[in-house]
Amino acid sequence: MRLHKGGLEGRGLSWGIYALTRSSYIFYIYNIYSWEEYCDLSQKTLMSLNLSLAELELLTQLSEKKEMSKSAVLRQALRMMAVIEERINRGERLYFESLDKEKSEVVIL
Amino acid sequence: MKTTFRLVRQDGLVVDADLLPLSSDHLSQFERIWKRMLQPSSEHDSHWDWVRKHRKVSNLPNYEAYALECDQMTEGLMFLECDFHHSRLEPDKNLVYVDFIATAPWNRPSIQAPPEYRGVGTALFTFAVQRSFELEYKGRVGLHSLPSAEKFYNTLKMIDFGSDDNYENLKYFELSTDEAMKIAERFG
Repeated sequence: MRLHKGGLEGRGLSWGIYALTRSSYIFYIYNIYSWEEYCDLSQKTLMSLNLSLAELELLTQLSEKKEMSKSAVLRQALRMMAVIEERINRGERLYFESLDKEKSEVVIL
Repeated sequence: MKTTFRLVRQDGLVVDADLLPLSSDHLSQFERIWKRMLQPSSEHDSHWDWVRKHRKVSNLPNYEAYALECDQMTEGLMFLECDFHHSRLEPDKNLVYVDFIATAPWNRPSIQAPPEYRGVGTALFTFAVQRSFELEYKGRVGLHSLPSAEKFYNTLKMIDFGSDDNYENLKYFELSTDEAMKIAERFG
Protein backbone atom coordinates (compact mmCIF):
# COMPACT_ATOMS: atom_id res chain seq x y z
CA MET A 1 0.00 0.00 0.00
CA ARG A 2 1.25 3.42 -0.84
CA LEU A 3 2.24 5.97 1.77
CA HIS A 4 -0.38 8.65 1.70
CA LYS A 5 -0.16 11.97 3.48
CA GLY A 6 -3.45 12.45 5.26
CA GLY A 7 -3.46 8.85 6.25
CA LEU A 8 -5.79 7.14 3.80
CA GLU A 9 -6.13 3.62 5.11
CA GLY A 10 -3.60 4.41 7.81
CA ARG A 11 -0.51 2.46 6.77
CA GLY A 12 2.87 4.12 6.80
CA LEU A 13 6.29 3.84 5.27
CA SER A 14 8.67 1.76 7.30
CA TRP A 15 11.70 0.61 5.38
CA GLY A 16 12.87 -0.16 1.91
CA ILE A 17 15.52 -1.94 -0.09
CA TYR A 18 17.07 -1.31 -3.45
CA ALA A 19 17.29 -4.12 -5.96
CA LEU A 20 19.58 -3.88 -8.95
CA THR A 21 18.13 -5.09 -12.22
CA ARG A 22 19.90 -5.08 -15.62
CA SER A 23 18.87 -1.54 -16.38
CA SER A 24 17.78 0.17 -13.22
CA TYR A 25 17.43 0.26 -9.48
CA ILE A 26 14.07 -0.62 -8.02
CA PHE A 27 13.06 0.62 -4.61
CA TYR A 28 10.77 -1.62 -2.62
CA ILE A 29 8.77 -0.15 0.23
CA TYR A 30 7.51 -2.27 3.07
CA ASN A 31 4.73 -1.10 5.35
CA ILE A 32 4.88 -1.98 9.00
CA TYR A 33 3.93 1.04 11.04
CA SER A 34 0.52 2.63 11.22
CA TRP A 35 0.18 6.21 9.97
CA GLU A 36 -0.11 7.40 13.58
CA GLU A 37 3.16 5.69 14.49
CA TYR A 38 4.79 6.99 11.34
CA CYS A 39 3.89 10.59 12.19
CA ASP A 40 4.68 10.29 15.89
CA LEU A 41 7.53 12.70 16.56
CA SER A 42 8.35 10.90 19.80
CA GLN A 43 9.60 8.07 17.59
CA LYS A 44 12.32 10.18 16.02
CA THR A 45 15.39 8.58 14.52
CA LEU A 46 18.74 10.04 15.46
CA MET A 47 21.17 10.48 12.60
CA SER A 48 24.46 12.26 12.13
CA LEU A 49 24.80 14.85 9.43
CA ASN A 50 27.88 16.07 7.62
CA LEU A 51 27.71 19.76 6.76
CA SER A 52 30.32 22.14 5.42
CA LEU A 53 30.97 25.27 7.47
CA ALA A 54 28.96 27.32 4.98
CA GLU A 55 26.01 24.94 5.20
CA LEU A 56 26.17 24.89 8.97
CA GLU A 57 26.26 28.69 9.03
CA LEU A 58 23.22 28.81 6.77
CA LEU A 59 21.38 26.37 9.02
CA THR A 60 22.30 28.42 12.07
CA GLN A 61 21.10 31.63 10.43
CA LEU A 62 17.75 30.09 9.48
CA SER A 63 17.38 28.58 12.92
CA GLU A 64 17.97 31.96 14.58
CA LYS A 65 15.82 33.90 12.13
CA LYS A 66 12.86 31.56 12.52
CA GLU A 67 13.46 30.86 16.21
CA MET A 68 13.31 27.15 15.53
CA SER A 69 15.74 24.38 16.41
CA LYS A 70 18.07 23.21 13.67
CA SER A 71 16.21 19.89 13.58
CA ALA A 72 12.86 21.64 13.03
CA VAL A 73 14.38 23.77 10.23
CA LEU A 74 15.76 20.67 8.52
CA ARG A 75 12.46 18.81 8.87
CA GLN A 76 10.59 21.74 7.33
CA ALA A 77 13.15 22.08 4.53
CA LEU A 78 12.80 18.40 3.75
CA ARG A 79 9.01 18.63 3.50
CA MET A 80 9.25 21.74 1.32
CA MET A 81 11.70 20.05 -1.01
CA ALA A 82 9.37 17.06 -1.32
CA VAL A 83 6.45 19.35 -2.18
CA ILE A 84 8.45 21.05 -4.93
CA GLU A 85 9.58 17.68 -6.31
CA GLU A 86 6.00 16.35 -6.30
CA ARG A 87 4.54 19.41 -8.03
CA ILE A 88 7.30 19.52 -10.64
CA ASN A 89 6.65 15.81 -11.27
CA ARG A 90 2.99 16.69 -11.87
CA GLY A 91 4.14 18.99 -14.67
CA GLU A 92 3.62 22.21 -12.69
CA ARG A 93 6.04 25.13 -12.72
CA LEU A 94 7.49 27.13 -9.87
CA TYR A 95 7.41 30.92 -10.01
CA PHE A 96 8.45 33.79 -7.79
CA GLU A 97 6.47 36.99 -8.08
CA SER A 98 8.02 40.38 -7.33
CA LEU A 99 6.16 43.21 -5.59
CA ASP A 100 5.52 44.62 -9.07
CA LYS A 101 3.71 41.37 -9.91
CA GLU A 102 6.51 40.37 -12.25
CA LYS A 103 6.85 36.63 -12.41
CA SER A 104 10.08 34.73 -12.84
CA GLU A 105 10.19 31.00 -13.21
CA VAL A 106 12.51 29.00 -11.01
CA VAL A 107 14.14 26.48 -13.28
CA ILE A 108 14.60 23.19 -11.50
CA LEU A 109 16.82 20.65 -13.15
CA MET B 1 0.05 15.66 21.62
CA LYS B 2 -3.55 15.44 22.70
CA THR B 3 -5.84 13.69 20.25
CA THR B 4 -8.90 13.15 22.43
CA PHE B 5 -11.20 16.11 22.92
CA ARG B 6 -14.39 16.67 24.86
CA LEU B 7 -17.66 17.59 23.17
CA VAL B 8 -20.97 18.50 24.77
CA ARG B 9 -23.81 16.39 23.43
CA GLN B 10 -27.31 17.75 22.85
CA ASP B 11 -28.51 16.21 26.17
CA GLY B 12 -25.71 17.95 28.08
CA LEU B 13 -23.52 14.89 28.47
CA VAL B 14 -19.78 15.42 27.95
CA VAL B 15 -18.37 12.83 25.54
CA ASP B 16 -14.92 12.05 24.13
CA ALA B 17 -14.08 12.58 20.47
CA ASP B 18 -10.94 11.41 18.67
CA LEU B 19 -8.86 13.54 16.34
CA LEU B 20 -7.67 11.18 13.60
CA PRO B 21 -5.86 11.38 10.28
CA LEU B 22 -8.47 11.64 7.56
CA SER B 23 -9.49 8.23 6.23
CA SER B 24 -11.59 6.97 3.35
CA ASP B 25 -14.36 6.23 5.89
CA HIS B 26 -14.51 9.91 6.86
CA LEU B 27 -14.67 10.98 3.23
CA SER B 28 -17.35 8.40 2.58
CA GLN B 29 -19.46 9.77 5.44
CA PHE B 30 -19.00 13.26 4.01
CA GLU B 31 -20.25 12.04 0.61
CA ARG B 32 -23.17 10.01 1.94
CA ILE B 33 -24.36 12.07 4.91
CA TRP B 34 -22.88 15.57 5.14
CA LYS B 35 -23.45 16.48 1.49
CA ARG B 36 -27.13 15.56 1.59
CA MET B 37 -27.69 18.08 4.39
CA LEU B 38 -25.28 20.76 3.22
CA GLN B 39 -26.12 21.07 -0.45
CA PRO B 40 -29.70 22.31 -0.05
CA SER B 41 -28.61 24.69 2.76
CA SER B 42 -27.43 28.26 2.42
CA GLU B 43 -24.22 27.56 4.37
CA HIS B 44 -21.16 29.30 2.93
CA ASP B 45 -19.35 25.98 2.59
CA SER B 46 -22.26 24.08 1.02
CA HIS B 47 -20.29 23.78 -2.24
CA TRP B 48 -17.07 22.46 -0.66
CA ASP B 49 -16.11 19.07 -1.95
CA TRP B 50 -13.77 17.52 0.62
CA VAL B 51 -13.12 14.46 -1.54
CA ARG B 52 -11.87 16.56 -4.43
CA LYS B 53 -9.91 18.85 -2.12
CA HIS B 54 -8.25 15.85 -0.49
CA ARG B 55 -7.33 14.32 -3.84
CA LYS B 56 -5.51 17.54 -4.76
CA VAL B 57 -3.33 17.69 -1.66
CA SER B 58 -3.02 14.10 -0.49
CA ASN B 59 0.49 13.54 -1.90
CA LEU B 60 1.86 16.87 -0.73
CA PRO B 61 3.85 16.59 2.53
CA ASN B 62 3.01 20.15 3.56
CA TYR B 63 -0.69 19.32 3.89
CA GLU B 64 -2.25 17.41 6.75
CA ALA B 65 -5.84 16.23 6.79
CA TYR B 66 -7.77 15.37 9.95
CA ALA B 67 -11.21 14.33 11.10
CA LEU B 68 -12.83 14.57 14.50
CA GLU B 69 -14.73 11.36 15.17
CA CYS B 70 -17.28 10.65 17.86
CA ASP B 71 -19.25 7.42 18.15
CA GLN B 72 -17.90 6.35 14.73
CA MET B 73 -19.33 9.43 13.04
CA THR B 74 -17.33 12.26 11.42
CA GLU B 75 -18.14 15.39 13.40
CA GLY B 76 -15.55 17.72 11.88
CA LEU B 77 -12.98 17.96 9.09
CA MET B 78 -9.82 20.05 8.74
CA PHE B 79 -6.92 20.57 6.33
CA LEU B 80 -3.74 22.24 7.57
CA GLU B 81 -0.92 23.68 5.47
CA CYS B 82 2.20 23.49 7.59
CA ASP B 83 5.21 24.84 5.70
CA PHE B 84 4.62 27.64 3.21
CA HIS B 85 2.59 30.28 5.02
CA HIS B 86 4.26 33.15 6.80
CA SER B 87 2.98 35.05 9.80
CA ARG B 88 1.76 38.60 9.32
CA LEU B 89 2.43 39.39 12.96
CA GLU B 90 6.01 38.10 12.77
CA PRO B 91 6.84 38.13 9.04
CA ASP B 92 10.04 36.06 9.25
CA LYS B 93 8.25 33.21 10.96
CA ASN B 94 6.07 30.41 9.73
CA LEU B 95 2.65 29.41 10.97
CA VAL B 96 0.13 26.64 10.59
CA TYR B 97 -2.47 27.76 8.08
CA VAL B 98 -5.97 26.32 8.45
CA ASP B 99 -6.87 25.78 4.81
CA PHE B 100 -10.31 24.28 5.40
CA ILE B 101 -12.24 23.56 8.56
CA ALA B 102 -15.86 22.52 8.99
CA THR B 103 -18.18 20.98 11.53
CA ALA B 104 -20.83 18.46 10.54
CA PRO B 105 -24.14 19.99 9.43
CA TRP B 106 -26.03 18.65 12.47
CA ASN B 107 -23.63 20.55 14.76
CA ARG B 108 -24.63 23.91 13.32
CA PRO B 109 -27.45 25.86 14.96
CA SER B 110 -28.29 27.30 11.53
CA ILE B 111 -29.22 23.78 10.32
CA GLN B 112 -30.21 21.94 13.48
CA ALA B 113 -31.32 23.55 16.73
CA PRO B 114 -30.13 22.54 19.20
CA PRO B 115 -26.99 21.13 17.58
CA GLU B 116 -26.00 17.50 18.15
CA TYR B 117 -22.57 18.38 19.57
CA ARG B 118 -20.94 21.61 20.71
CA GLY B 119 -17.18 22.15 20.79
CA VAL B 120 -16.18 20.62 17.44
CA GLY B 121 -14.67 23.83 16.03
CA THR B 122 -12.80 24.52 19.27
CA ALA B 123 -11.40 20.98 19.31
CA LEU B 124 -10.18 21.18 15.71
CA PHE B 125 -8.70 24.63 16.22
CA THR B 126 -6.97 23.58 19.44
CA PHE B 127 -5.34 20.74 17.56
CA ALA B 128 -4.06 23.20 14.93
CA VAL B 129 -2.52 25.26 17.73
CA GLN B 130 -0.91 22.16 19.23
CA ARG B 131 0.44 21.21 15.82
CA SER B 132 1.94 24.70 15.50
CA PHE B 133 3.74 24.28 18.83
CA GLU B 134 4.97 20.85 17.75
CA LEU B 135 6.41 22.26 14.52
CA GLU B 136 8.12 24.96 16.63
CA TYR B 137 5.96 27.73 15.17
CA LYS B 138 5.11 28.75 18.75
CA GLY B 139 1.37 28.32 18.35
CA ARG B 140 0.95 30.78 15.47
CA VAL B 141 -2.09 29.89 13.35
CA GLY B 142 -3.60 31.79 10.42
CA LEU B 143 -6.75 31.41 8.34
CA HIS B 144 -9.22 33.13 6.07
CA SER B 145 -12.65 33.02 7.64
CA LEU B 146 -16.03 32.51 6.07
CA PRO B 147 -18.32 35.38 7.17
CA SER B 148 -20.41 33.07 9.36
CA ALA B 149 -17.33 32.00 11.37
CA GLU B 150 -15.80 35.44 12.01
CA LYS B 151 -17.48 35.76 15.40
CA PHE B 152 -15.97 32.43 16.49
CA TYR B 153 -12.44 33.55 15.60
CA ASN B 154 -12.98 36.85 17.37
CA THR B 155 -13.90 34.98 20.55
CA LEU B 156 -10.61 33.07 20.24
CA LYS B 157 -8.87 36.50 20.32
CA MET B 158 -7.42 36.08 16.85
CA ILE B 159 -6.23 39.31 15.27
CA ASP B 160 -8.47 40.51 12.45
CA PHE B 161 -6.39 41.79 9.51
CA GLY B 162 -9.49 42.69 7.49
CA SER B 163 -10.56 41.63 4.00
CA ASP B 164 -7.97 40.04 1.77
CA ASP B 165 -8.50 40.93 -1.89
CA ASN B 166 -6.22 38.06 -2.87
CA TYR B 167 -8.57 35.62 -1.19
CA GLU B 168 -12.14 36.33 -2.29
CA ASN B 169 -12.25 39.26 0.15
CA LEU B 170 -12.46 36.91 3.10
CA LYS B 171 -11.10 38.30 6.34
CA TYR B 172 -7.67 37.07 7.41
CA PHE B 173 -7.25 36.16 11.08
CA GLU B 174 -4.09 35.25 12.92
CA LEU B 175 -3.48 33.84 16.38
CA SER B 176 -0.50 35.25 18.28
CA THR B 177 1.83 33.14 20.39
CA ASP B 178 0.45 34.68 23.60
CA GLU B 179 -3.13 33.76 22.76
CA ALA B 180 -2.04 30.35 21.49
CA MET B 181 -0.50 29.59 24.87
CA LYS B 182 -3.77 30.49 26.57
CA ILE B 183 -5.71 28.19 24.22
CA ALA B 184 -3.24 25.36 24.76
CA GLU B 185 -3.60 25.77 28.53
CA ARG B 186 -7.39 26.06 28.46
CA PHE B 187 -8.28 23.32 26.00
CA GLY B 188 -5.08 21.36 25.39
